[in-house]
Amino acid sequence: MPIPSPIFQAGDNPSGPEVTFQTQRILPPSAIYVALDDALCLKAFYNIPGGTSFVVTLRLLRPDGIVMPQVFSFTISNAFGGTQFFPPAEGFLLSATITSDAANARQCFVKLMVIRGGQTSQDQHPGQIFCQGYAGGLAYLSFPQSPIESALSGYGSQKNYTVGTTPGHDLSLGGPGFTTNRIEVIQFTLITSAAVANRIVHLHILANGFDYVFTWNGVTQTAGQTLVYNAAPGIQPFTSGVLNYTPLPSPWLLNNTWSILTVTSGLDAADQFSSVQVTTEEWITG
Amino acid sequence: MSDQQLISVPIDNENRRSHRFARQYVDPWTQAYVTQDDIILVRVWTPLLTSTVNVSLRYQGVNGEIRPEFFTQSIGATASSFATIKIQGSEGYLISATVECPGTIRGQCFISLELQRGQGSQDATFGQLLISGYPGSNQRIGYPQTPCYSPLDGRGAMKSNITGSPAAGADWSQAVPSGVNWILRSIGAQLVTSASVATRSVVLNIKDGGGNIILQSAASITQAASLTFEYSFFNGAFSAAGPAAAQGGLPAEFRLLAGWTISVTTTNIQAGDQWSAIRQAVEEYVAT
Repeated sequence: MPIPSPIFQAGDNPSGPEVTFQTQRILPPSAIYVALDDALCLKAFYNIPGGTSFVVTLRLLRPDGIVMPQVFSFTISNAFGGTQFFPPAEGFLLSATITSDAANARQCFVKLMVIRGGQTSQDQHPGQIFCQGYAGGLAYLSFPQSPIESALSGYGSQKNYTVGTTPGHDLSLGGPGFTTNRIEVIQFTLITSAAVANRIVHLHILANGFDYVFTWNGVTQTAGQTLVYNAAPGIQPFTSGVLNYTPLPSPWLLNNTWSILTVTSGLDAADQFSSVQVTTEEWITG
Repeated sequence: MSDQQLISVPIDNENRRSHRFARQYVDPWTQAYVTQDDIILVRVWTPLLTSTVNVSLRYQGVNGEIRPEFFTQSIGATASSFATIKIQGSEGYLISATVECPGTIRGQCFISLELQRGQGSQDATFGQLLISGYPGSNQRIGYPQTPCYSPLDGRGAMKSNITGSPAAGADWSQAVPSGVNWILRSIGAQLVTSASVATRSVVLNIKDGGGNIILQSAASITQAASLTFEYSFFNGAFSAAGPAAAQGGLPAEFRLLAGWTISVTTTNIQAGDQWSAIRQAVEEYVAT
């Protein structure tokens, strides 16, 4: 059936430019049509005790031509992430912007998609993904302009962990299972007991039961000493007073199949590791 | 009329083109439709310096006319927050938006430009993010071509930071300023020791925002009385000593957050010893 002529068009102006544009019956951006049965789904992944809050803002072109902003604010209190569904109205999704209140940049990895059926559906169809990447308080993630990024794109989040210790036991260091970490610095103190023995602290990087790195700086620690150990990529093996330096490979990304251990020969039951600080660059890789 | 006739070149087409495009009643580009109730919101995050922000818009009005608009504003240092510039919208289509910051190095001023509902209202709804990134003197960011970058994408601003000399007999400390992250490239300083006999040994400390020591980097040699030593700390530094020079190591790609501190501890420092020429070469990003 032929489309009836518009009531008014800019092309009706005889003194105007050669090219004129529609002002009525403009085609909507149909590639981003969201139906009544669709739901938006935000999946968030992070490593933040207490969780974090999100604001998702949509600009939706309704079927009647009105641009309607919609705001969804919610908190995911799980420390490692979660999923939130929210139903938009029927229309054309002009934009979707995601912010989080994660304190530091690149802490919170999110993906926003449209799926059929919403929360109650058992449909596991992933649907159309709108945006994926790290969203923060001042670094927004937005459809359609933000590229769909992998979790390992760009810099990660800067993290500093304090690690607990037990007398007479070596250290075992590893990040949460769903993260990938680049070790920047490991610092710890070893206080040796009065038991006479020579202690030598080695650092191992292990995966699947195999040693991939075995490193130390050659210092021998005797009874009743307090020595501070620093291990970092690009640092030369070196000793100055109580300070000791051990090199690590650079850059090496460690995922959940890897761990860093100290293996201390001659370790006494009363020897005590303390002040363990691990500084890493962390990516949320699932 | 057959299909063959439909795609044939018309005889009266003087340019002999096989395709012709509509000249009348063309559909506008609807991706960034701006209503009368919308504003263009520019967020400017320039933690440490005053930045001039130039915004150039190309609107298509409802009658099809192209309307260039230009806005310029000087924004003072914003520390850990951001300043906003609100540009009144009018009904039409935003064809392009280009932002530049004359006189600003990439990495120092982070900009985002959004389409938001509410003319000067208190509505805090985020709108459509059109662009975000680091414009500079000779590099612009522009909608619709520039992807939305985070402040930590790409390279930061290479910067030399100078720390004032402390009083004689005192060590020095430098905090990472609010609103920025630093990747330490090198740290240099000079220590002139007095005639008081003592063996000075220097350790560089890095502490996090909670005061936890996360690195102690010792200089390669000690310094006796009445000497002038140059100290350098950098990644890959070898622990050998040179004439009147000491080195210490830094971890690779070590990013310090705002509020973290760099300091030295000089064991056996004497009242007449003087630290000076303290500088840090850093790659700086606008980030929390």
